[in-house]
Amino acid sequence: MSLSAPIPDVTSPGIGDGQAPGPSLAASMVIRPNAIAALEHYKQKDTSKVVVRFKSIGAAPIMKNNVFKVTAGNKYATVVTFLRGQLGSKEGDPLFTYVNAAFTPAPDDIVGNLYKCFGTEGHLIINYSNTQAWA
Amino acid sequence: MMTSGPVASSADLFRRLSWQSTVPLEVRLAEHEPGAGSGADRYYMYPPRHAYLPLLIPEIRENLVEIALDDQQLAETNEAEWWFEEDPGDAVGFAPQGACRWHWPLDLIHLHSIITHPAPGASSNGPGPSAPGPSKPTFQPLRLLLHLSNPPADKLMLPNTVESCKANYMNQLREADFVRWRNTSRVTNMRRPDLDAGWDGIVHDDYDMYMRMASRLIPLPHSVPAPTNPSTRPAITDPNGKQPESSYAVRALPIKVYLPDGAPVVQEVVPPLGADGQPTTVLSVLQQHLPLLFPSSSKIPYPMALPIAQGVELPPEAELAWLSSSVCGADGWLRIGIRLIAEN
Repeated sequence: MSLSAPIPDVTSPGIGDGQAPGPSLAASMVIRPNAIAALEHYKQKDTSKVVVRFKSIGAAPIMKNNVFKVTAGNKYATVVTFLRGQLGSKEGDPLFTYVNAAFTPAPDDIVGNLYKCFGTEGHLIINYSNTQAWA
Repeated sequence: MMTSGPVASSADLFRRLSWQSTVPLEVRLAEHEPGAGSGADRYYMYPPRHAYLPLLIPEIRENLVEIALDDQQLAETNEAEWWFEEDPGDAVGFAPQGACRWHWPLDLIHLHSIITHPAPGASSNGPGPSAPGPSKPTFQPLRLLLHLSNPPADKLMLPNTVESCKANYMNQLREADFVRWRNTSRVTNMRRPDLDAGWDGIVHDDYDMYMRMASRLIPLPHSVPAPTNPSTRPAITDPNGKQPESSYAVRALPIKVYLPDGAPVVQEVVPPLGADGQPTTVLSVLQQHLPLLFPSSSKIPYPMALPIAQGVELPPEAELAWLSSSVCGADGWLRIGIRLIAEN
């Protein structure tokens, strides 16, 4: 699928992204420097972008623009918050989301992981609905 | 699914062992909470690994909160505002996990506690961290602080209700099944009473009830014919002549890998068999996806860190398809934590 217009970015205010502070090991417990360096590398947040495509289910409103770029390292909860904003959905209004119309990710699942495992044709499909698709 | 035969019996044994595995838990009222510091401000229990914190609240209420608080304080407390935090304690380690998420099985909360504290290095007399042999069990109890107010909603992400916990569980079941088969038809087509028996089995700690669902969803580790000899008869067939689904024949295995100190969860596409047709092992997946901690050039499998699942260290040669079938969590996910090794 080709996109003629640039894909807007989902700005991430960092909701639920609170990362733990750096290591607080006492000097008496020594970890090999290359192990610490390895961990520091793996702690880095993935700042690359994943293309997300929102698709409505049932009577849910259709978005004029439904394709956005999301930072891969973001938690899924930030995507849901963003979607609520786009739909003008108020806190407390029911909004259900699904990946590939199959399951709802946990709020702390990482967008990049979801794309790696469940993406299709270069994007991650997120379906949304005002009513629950299944109990 | 075929439920007799050596493969099924062996998997069933380990599934029962995992089901019976408990987490030693100490719950203590946090400082500044009513009842804290009194002689009755803590409670000890051994909940199953597959339990969730919202399911433990009634027992903790009855045995800790109602005993430590007076009538006035009890009348003023609102269970919806209760939350747990891992007690940072005095032990040396990485940044503690803080507030405990309601949708995490106890096994995962305990796993984070284990990997926060690096493993003691090999002594001159004992076996090295990579020595083959029985896994070293972890005896540290999980110490949680109970707060009665001001839950950090951004960290907890969900309310502490059983309904919310169940909804998340059902979705984790689906996500795991989507990883295996690229669809969730097995969940969608399951009879409702069988599907609900999964969660009900967790609530009532009833393995047979839980297996009404799990036996229909989590494939057994039947061996599959080697790809180089397609004319070989299948290793096992059921009375209907159909090949039972095998964890070695899924598209990918539902696995998550956790690192300490706030590092993001690692979730990759892990096929049960490698490109060479050989079963994917614990060591091969760690070397592929965490090469800085598990370099393939190393002479020993675990030079810097240990993989832990269900509270025990995983042998490097263990096949992930077998582990994912026999020692996965109750939602079908195999959760592996990476615990760094200290030098001393």
